[in-house]
Amino acid sequence: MEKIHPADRAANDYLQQQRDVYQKGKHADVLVAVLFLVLIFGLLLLHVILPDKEYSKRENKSLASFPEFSLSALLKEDGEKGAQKSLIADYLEDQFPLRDQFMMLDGARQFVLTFGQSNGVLSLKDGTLLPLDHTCKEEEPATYKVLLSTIKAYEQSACFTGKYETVFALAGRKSAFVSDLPADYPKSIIKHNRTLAKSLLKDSGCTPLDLTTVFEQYAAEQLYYKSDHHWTSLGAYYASAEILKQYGKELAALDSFTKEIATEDFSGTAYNASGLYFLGGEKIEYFRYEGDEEYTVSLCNALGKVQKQRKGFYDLSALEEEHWGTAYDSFVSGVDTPIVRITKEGEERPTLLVIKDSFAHSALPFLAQEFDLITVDVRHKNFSLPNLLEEGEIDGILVLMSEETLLS
Amino acid sequence: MVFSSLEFLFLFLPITLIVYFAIPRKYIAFRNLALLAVSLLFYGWGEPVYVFLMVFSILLSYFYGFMVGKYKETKPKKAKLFLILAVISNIGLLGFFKYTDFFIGILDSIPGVDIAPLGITLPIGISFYTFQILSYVIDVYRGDTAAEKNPLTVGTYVTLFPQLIAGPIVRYKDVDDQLKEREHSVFLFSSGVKTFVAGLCKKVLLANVAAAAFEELKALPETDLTVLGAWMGILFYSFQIYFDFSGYSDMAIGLGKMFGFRFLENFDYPYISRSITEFWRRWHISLSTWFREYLYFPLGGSRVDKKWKVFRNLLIVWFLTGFWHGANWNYILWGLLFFVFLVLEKTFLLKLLDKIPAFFGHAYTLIVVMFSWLLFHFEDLGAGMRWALKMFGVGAQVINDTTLFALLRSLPMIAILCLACTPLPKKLYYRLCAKGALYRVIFAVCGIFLFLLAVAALVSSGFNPFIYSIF
Repeated sequence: MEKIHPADRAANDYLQQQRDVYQKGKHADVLVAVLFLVLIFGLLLLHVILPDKEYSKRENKSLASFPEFSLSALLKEDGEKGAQKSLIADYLEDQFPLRDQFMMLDGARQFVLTFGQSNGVLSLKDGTLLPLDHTCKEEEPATYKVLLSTIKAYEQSACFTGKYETVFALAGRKSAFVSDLPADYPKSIIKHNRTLAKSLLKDSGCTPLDLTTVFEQYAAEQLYYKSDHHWTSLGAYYASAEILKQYGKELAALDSFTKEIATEDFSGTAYNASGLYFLGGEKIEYFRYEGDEEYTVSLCNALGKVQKQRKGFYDLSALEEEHWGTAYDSFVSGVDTPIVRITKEGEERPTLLVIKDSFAHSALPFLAQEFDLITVDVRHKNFSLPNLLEEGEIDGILVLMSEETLLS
Repeated sequence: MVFSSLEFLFLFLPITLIVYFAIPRKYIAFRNLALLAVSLLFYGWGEPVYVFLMVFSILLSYFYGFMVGKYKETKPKKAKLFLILAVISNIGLLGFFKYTDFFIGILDSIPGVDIAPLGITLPIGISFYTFQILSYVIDVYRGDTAAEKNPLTVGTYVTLFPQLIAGPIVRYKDVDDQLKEREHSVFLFSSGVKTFVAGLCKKVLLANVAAAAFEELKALPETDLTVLGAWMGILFYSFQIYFDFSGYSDMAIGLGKMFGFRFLENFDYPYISRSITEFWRRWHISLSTWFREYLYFPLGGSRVDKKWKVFRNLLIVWFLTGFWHGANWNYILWGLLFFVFLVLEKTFLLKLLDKIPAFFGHAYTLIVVMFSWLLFHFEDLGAGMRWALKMFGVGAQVINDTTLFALLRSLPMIAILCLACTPLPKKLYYRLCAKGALYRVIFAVCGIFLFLLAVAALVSSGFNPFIYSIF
């Protein structure tokens, strides 16, 4: 008699068990097969029928379009940049029917299995979404090196008068100010990154302004958005007041500003990443003051050419559903604008160059009360700007960015 | 293309099902032809150039199989010659594409020798399909099956997309009948769907999650890796490799059933083993079967006159098992590690394990297997050694808050992974299914919900590694 291999026996036993279940009642097995077929054919059909989208508001992400066919792309290996199969995989992933709903389902799965964590974002009891911190491995991160050389380039250029000392204001991480941080949250990462950031701040050669220390006295107030990593207008106000103090100037009292609700449906970057789209939005407030609509805001390209100009700090089009980005972009400009100039007509005022990340955007309306401003984003690495400015145009340099950007 | 991808699930599979089932059942040859065509497309999608190499290998094996079959009865020496040629040419191709740079590296390390590696890209699945091709020619030589007259049938056997990239390694004699006539039924199709969905969930919802947890620990600065973190890391990798590979095998077996094929089970809950001997009866069964039938037995196996010859045979088999997995020293050492433990078990350890409580056998097996994965994973032996030292507290804290956070947040997942390594969920499924129709419908709906969860994970994250695709 031929000896039966154990794997054969296992396969036969398994099949027999399934056959027994099937023979007890076919309905469940037929149901599985039918539902499976309905899903794979149905979703394929939906994909064909539904029009492609260019942008996902929920994820704040541009979506891949159908790739053009080319033989060279086809012959590239899987995973290689520009390979036809990778482009098609990206396209299918981005244009998958009911993508938002599937993202939400996956977010919910992760949330349940990790006690509130999803796609690197931790959901806290009060609805705060906290992007998880990661230990910065570098002792001198790349952004810091770029920053130092940028500061040097400006300080040595003819456009800099040297009237004010260069101030480096560093915004802390949201995790440092979350009131109900879970007991198991790895605080050593916060500590490590903070120690590193403080030492970089100290070694930068600028006048250091550690805004984390400043914020400690206001920790009970909502300094950061729940769904976003940025500070609120209140946080920006406190930060701006401290920055202006460094220049010997005083910001108007908090109650002199009129709080205007820009939107009550703001969903920030932590929300975009989390997939927890069943959570509600929150409000963004503008701290308005008399005459704030008389400032001229010029949005420039990397060559300093004005692309767009408007009166007032707030870009209300960023609050609309069609806007590609979050409602935080309504503060002055989105992250894609390399250079912004803010001036007040009819007044001769000192000019401050702000080397910044997006944290500065909501602080600019406050800083503009005392200075004309030119902002450059450190992530655009715009070294040619000194050549574009006139001799003696800059009186001071302010670096205003977050710890996340500095340590990236 | 891998099964756990949107392009396979929602493009390739629906189109293949339409093409295949549009052909009437009686035209099995045309169904085979359709399978051959889609399988070449499936392979060509990932390997547009190497698909020609595979076609060449198939034609070669068809020719050798034909010649072996022709001369087997009348001129056995000539048949043997063609068998040897088949082995040399197939192993030669595998050797060239997989091992050339490894041997160049060895030569290059000799003082005074300076040879640059050729940088050959490994054709996906070559280790698997080479073994299948060899099984065909050897089976014909042994008279276990007749030489196939139709080259398309041999082509369908080798390229059959469900098992093409990562097995199970299907012996020709196991499917030769099915290539000519096979069952197509609602039962087999739905059974295939269930097996496929189970495999997909293992791969996407278990293996990928374990992989992400392991990658996170690996990404920590080396100074931040604690003793607990190092143990967790290797535990997650052990989960990853099992669910990754067994999930892929289940998907292959499920797809096979949808198209009327019945493949061997490739995994049988290996982590519940009480010895390494048992582990290898439950892990990658199709590979160990192949080595046993086509190498160990021909060498004499354990039926030899001297005990040292048994050990010699085992040494050859385990050296080659390790080397088959990859052209690097870590794989060879990985294979030799199992050789050592299998020899120990053959000499005295199995008897001892039988006498002591089962717990010790399970613990011993899991520890040996986990350390073997350490060797398997780290091609850089130094990095593997540093990780192992961390596990024993050399240069590492016992625990820190980062590791504790990772552990606490992973507890539900670790519990699910542990449970899924045992036959308990399957036993519960059959027990409840036997109780009534309601349970069966509930399981059916749960199965489809899990499928949707897996699809959601694929839509949401591009992180979808597949360990065995590199072999």
